[in-house]
Amino acid sequence: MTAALLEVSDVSVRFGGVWALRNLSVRLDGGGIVGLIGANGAGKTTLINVVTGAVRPAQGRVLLDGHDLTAMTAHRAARLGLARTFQNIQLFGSLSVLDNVLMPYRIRHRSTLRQGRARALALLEQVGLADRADGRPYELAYGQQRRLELARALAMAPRLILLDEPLAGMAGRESEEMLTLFGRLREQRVTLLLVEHDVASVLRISDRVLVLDHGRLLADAPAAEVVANPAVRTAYLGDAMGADD
Amino acid sequence: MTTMRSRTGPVMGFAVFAAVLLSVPAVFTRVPLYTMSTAVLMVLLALAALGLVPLAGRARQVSLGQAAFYGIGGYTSAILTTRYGLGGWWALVAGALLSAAVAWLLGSLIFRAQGHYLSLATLAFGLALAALATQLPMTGGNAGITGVPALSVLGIELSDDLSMYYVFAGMLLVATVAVQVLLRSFWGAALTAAGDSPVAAAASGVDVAGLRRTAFVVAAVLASVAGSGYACWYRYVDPGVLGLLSSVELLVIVSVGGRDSVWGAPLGALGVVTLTQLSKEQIGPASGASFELTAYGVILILSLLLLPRGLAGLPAILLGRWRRHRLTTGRIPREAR
Amino acid sequence: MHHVLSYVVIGLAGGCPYAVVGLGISLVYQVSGVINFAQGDFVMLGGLTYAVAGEAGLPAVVAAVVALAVTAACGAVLQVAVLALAAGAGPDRLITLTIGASILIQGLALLWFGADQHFAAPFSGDREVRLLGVTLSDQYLWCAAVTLSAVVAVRLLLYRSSWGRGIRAVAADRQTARLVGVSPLWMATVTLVLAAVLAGLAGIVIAPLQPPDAAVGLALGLKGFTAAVLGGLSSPMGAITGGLVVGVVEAVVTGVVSSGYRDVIVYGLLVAVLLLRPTGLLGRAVAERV
Repeated sequence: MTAALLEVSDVSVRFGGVWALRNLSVRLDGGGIVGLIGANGAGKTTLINVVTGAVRPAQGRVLLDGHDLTAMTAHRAARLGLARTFQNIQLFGSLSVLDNVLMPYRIRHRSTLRQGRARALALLEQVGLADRADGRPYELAYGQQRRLELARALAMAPRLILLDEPLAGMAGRESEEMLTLFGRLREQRVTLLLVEHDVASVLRISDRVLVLDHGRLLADAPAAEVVANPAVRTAYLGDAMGADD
Repeated sequence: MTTMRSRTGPVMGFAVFAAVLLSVPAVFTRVPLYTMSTAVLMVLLALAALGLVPLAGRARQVSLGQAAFYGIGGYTSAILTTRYGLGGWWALVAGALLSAAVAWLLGSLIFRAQGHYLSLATLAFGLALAALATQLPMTGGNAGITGVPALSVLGIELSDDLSMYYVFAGMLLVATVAVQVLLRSFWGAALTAAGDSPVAAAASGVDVAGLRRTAFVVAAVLASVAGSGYACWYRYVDPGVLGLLSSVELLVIVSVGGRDSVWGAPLGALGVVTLTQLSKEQIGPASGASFELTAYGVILILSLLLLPRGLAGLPAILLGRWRRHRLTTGRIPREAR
Repeated sequence: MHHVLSYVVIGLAGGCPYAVVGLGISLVYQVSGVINFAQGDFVMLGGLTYAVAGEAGLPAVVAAVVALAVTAACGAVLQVAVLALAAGAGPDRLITLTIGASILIQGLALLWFGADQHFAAPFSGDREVRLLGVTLSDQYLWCAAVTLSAVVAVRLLLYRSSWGRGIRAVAADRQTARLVGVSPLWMATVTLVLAAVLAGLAGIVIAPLQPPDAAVGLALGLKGFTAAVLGGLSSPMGAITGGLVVGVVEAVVTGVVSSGYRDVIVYGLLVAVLLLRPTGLLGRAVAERV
């Protein structure tokens, strides 16, 4: 069996007396959009933190392409092709919009300034920010800031991008644009792990959906099956689906 | 990186800076309040504070340990020259190497932890060193070490303030250029990014802990060189140079001058030395010390609240650049520094 | 052996004020994410005001109330007139602001009270007690009693009052706290005033043992930091244990090694803890609060 893109095996994390994650195992083979949903406190953010190395699990391992991420610092994991965006937008406010993308690109590709610049501009073009390259991140509108974060993540030429609530606080049109972008990235064979509160959007765009409940994996199936799963409906989706109907 | 507005700007800046440094002796010997010895002190303080620009200004790591490295430089120079007969410049280099090694070791350990422990650790480190210096026979206890020989250049002894000033003003100029080159390099951009958002920088492949450590070492070396210069100029060191007040003084200097620009250090040094002179002349040395503390406190708080970019940021405000940012966006930057 | 035991007893009693100072530091760090460098100067201010008021002839209780009112006011001013104005500033600027506040308080105290030490009478005269074969000033018992009451009061406040719920909510998650109607800024003010009052209390009980002067805040503050960091910084009750550890280390070093090296070792302890065990002796690894 070849190494999976991401393999989370038997991971447990404990905060005080509470298990934030309990014996969690997930395998992503690469490609497509994988949605991760669950109620508040179900362990979504903890899972992201474990994968990116911000939290060290009490037990279990996380492998990216066969490399053990469990004891790895965040920047090494990033250089192996693990990129992410943040729930509360994290941009480099003192750098220009272009430099926000150029800096990670040059780290990852060890490129010259000239090559990197062209590439970074192309990435900004892809997220529709090329005309704002010389501006500062805080001059951008909220949705644009989210897209800049995505362009910065793409600059790492990632195998896997963790998207932490990328639609939070966005108006309808903005989140549609974002979802279209995700669709295009799927065509480019980038794997997206999408953590999102907006369940309807996740179910619509994801190829596969993971449902967490109290630190355990409640379901792992294509979106259509997850919607039909009675355990998921009672534990979590019930309200959301009811509201949608 | 790409945001460099023009290549002539910085060169012009350094030409003006060199001209100002050259004209200081002519001015300081003619106006009240200043003397050549205040000029030497100013240059040494600017050199010691300069390292805080990358460290505190860009990487946003507050260090209260600058005085400790200033002290390590001063004591190393004093001990090696008076007890082992080493030449002053070699002792200065030895002090800088020792400071670099200590900073590297401290930095390797302290930056493993996330959070803002550097300020606490460096404060405790400086005070522990100061307490140690009062106890050890080698450092001469509370009395300190006297009889430190003056530095000499090309056989000329720097025993007067004027020659000492020129040599250290030259070193300040070189150090300012070097720090500016560092800040403009890729390293500087990565350091700035790590200051803006450590988590995002790490996710972008930046070795945040390593960068912080390098900035800490650079700051330590600059402070150490200034401390060695001080010992050889004053011909004397005592535990007072290691104290908290000297560290706070250096922090006040870059905060007043401007933490994210290399001009912050010389501008701040001018401001702080002026204030110290004023308090000595107007109030007298006795209550001058308490006045100085109060004034440092007020100035530090006011400059952080009202002039986040310090004196070095004033031209930008006056030219309206800052205001334009706010007007065009309607959003005040979250991290408006 | 007998000596060591006696130093431990003295250390436990003498460490009580450090524990109270550390408790305040850790509460503020939890709620605002700020290491408050002015905490030691609150201790100094409390002790000095108490001693000066006592020397001026005020009854001890009145002097204590005045001292606590002064430190509480000082804490409120620091939050409202300094830290709150820097809303949106990063932790580096907030820390630097508290450093500014620290030297400002010290400078003002020097201007008002001068550089001299001031003396306060022990609470119950010059009585002494014998405890486990050690003769101690009564004041050490007061230290322990006041610390115990302060800890109980803080626990009650945190777990039995609406303010306490607010403080814990902000400490756990600012965003969520704001969503449920708790104002982080208001809770930060409450916490800083609480920390200042705790510092003032420590200053008052320690004043008869170590006559305060305007410069004493730095040393007391650092011992409080050591206490808080030993306890893991984010665990208020851990700071209590930390304070007792600092007290014992200080007493044993002073008694067994030499009083000259006391500061070297106490400050060195803080450096060592920060370098080797930054999550504290009791703490566990916690991710950076983003």
